[in-house]
Amino acid sequence: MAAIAKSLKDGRKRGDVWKRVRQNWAAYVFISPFYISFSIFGLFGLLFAFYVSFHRWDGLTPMRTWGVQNYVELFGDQKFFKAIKTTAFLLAMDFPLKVGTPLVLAVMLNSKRLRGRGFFRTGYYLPEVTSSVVVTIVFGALYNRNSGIFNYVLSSVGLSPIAWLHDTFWAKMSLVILSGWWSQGYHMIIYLAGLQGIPQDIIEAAIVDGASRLQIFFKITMPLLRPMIIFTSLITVNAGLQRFAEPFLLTNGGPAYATQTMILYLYTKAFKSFRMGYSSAMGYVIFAMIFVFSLIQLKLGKED
Amino acid sequence: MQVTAHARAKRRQLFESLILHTLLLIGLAISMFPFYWMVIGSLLGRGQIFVVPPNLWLKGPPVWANYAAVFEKTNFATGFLNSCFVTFTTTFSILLFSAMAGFAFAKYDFPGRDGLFLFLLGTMMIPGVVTLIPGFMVIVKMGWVDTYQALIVPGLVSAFGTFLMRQYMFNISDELIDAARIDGAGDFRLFFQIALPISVPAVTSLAIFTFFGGWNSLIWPLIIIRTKPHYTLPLTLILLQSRFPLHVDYSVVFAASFMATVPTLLVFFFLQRHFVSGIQTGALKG
Repeated sequence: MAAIAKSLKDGRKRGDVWKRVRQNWAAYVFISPFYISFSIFGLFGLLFAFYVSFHRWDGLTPMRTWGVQNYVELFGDQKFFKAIKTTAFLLAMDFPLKVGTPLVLAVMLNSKRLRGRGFFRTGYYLPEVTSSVVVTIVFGALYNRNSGIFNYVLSSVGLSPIAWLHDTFWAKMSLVILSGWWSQGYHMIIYLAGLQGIPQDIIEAAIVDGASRLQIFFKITMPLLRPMIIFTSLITVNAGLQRFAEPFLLTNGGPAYATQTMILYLYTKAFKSFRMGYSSAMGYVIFAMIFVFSLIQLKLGKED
Repeated sequence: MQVTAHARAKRRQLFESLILHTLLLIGLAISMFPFYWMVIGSLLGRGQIFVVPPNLWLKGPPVWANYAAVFEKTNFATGFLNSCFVTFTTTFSILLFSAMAGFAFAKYDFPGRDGLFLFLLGTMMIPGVVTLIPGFMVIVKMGWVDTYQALIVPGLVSAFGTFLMRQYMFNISDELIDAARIDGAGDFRLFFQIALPISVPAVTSLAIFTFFGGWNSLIWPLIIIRTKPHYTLPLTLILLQSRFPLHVDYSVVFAASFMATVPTLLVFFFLQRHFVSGIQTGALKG
């Protein structure tokens, strides 16, 4: 089939193209909504934002031409660099709870001896269905310095309480713990799919050969799960670079800007200081950074 | 000798299985606790969420008045209805347009197809936050700030949805479509009577993801909605939380949070199977 299609394609003359366009008019109708919508809200918006990034604009009064001033200011903006560092730190801290523990959970859930797998899977997935607002409302109460349950647990096992949301280090950790709790189930299910694709006889052969459970995990399971590990890493990085809702709601970037992520800073500049030109420029710089990151990831992903 | 070895192996297995279940149960308790706490907290009396030692279970009668207070003291009902309206409209539209475009990409051989599809995949690489300010400026230019259109229109289509549907519809047999064409079915009948019914599993998965995304969406409503009549549920909750000072009546905030979560919980429990398979398709193919 494919060969015929290809030879047809090669044999086509220029005049045929319009005939085929007319024949397939319905296909163009079917795909048009996406391209119309993307042209307006995506493409036009992106071009307009690029134009605005060379202007000074509060969104209401007329724009003033500003040249590359916004970009110059951005590269000297200490708060912006701090926001990049904070975003990177949070992202690095995400890995154990977003790529590591879900893998351990999935391996445990995949055990033949386990009873009630569906029950556990549902329970672990449940956090994923809650909205960021609800999650931060509940965790805000749990993290409460004086009467939150986390500190109650710490002091009842003899540890000193932590000023979760009021300490520059622990405020970051609070966000990491919250989002780790939130994404356990989703990442675990991705791993489970991979584990279920590993042929059981490979494992049994290894057991017959006298391999220990740890050897099986590191020498067989992990390498075979490589695509899933890359995938969960990808979504961890993606979510980490775009982190906004939790720092906005839980700590509002504080204390002392310790949890101000790139996107939260962008939001503040655009919708609190009303500096549309400056935040458009920032948007483009962030876009460029994420783009480079994606290229690196693609390259890493292709290597296997 | 052999009997004891066998018994020992069996005992070891029992022990391991015990550890496995214990660990998983502890993990499950941690995973579920915030939910449990939200429900318990929503039924506690004034100031009872923030006491030491904490009320880990209901010691007195449940305070149902907290739930009544959510409706009396806030515009929760408005937020709920707005969220329903916006989420259902966008979900329906995304399903329809994604399935249509997916069908065209999977089953038509039209000039420019591969280029257009590659372009669509390329747009998926643009992170959502990047189009935030551009999107906002388009809405400002259109004069749509603080309107339902602004909540709905930019979200009527989905590149991811189109991709997902195209992957699924690729497997529809060409013979089936050719046979229907010979019987005189037009393009729209082909789509609505053959392609769409076959793709119900993929449509269901996409419906769940879209519903969740819409119901929980925060940042877009946050920047384009200004007045309470247009608030969606997340905005209502933020307002509610800021209005009730900590320690006093926080149970009301918990009650509202729980009610805001109920629709997603229901969807999750009833459509769980599609959910899992949807994630796995996305992970394996994406």
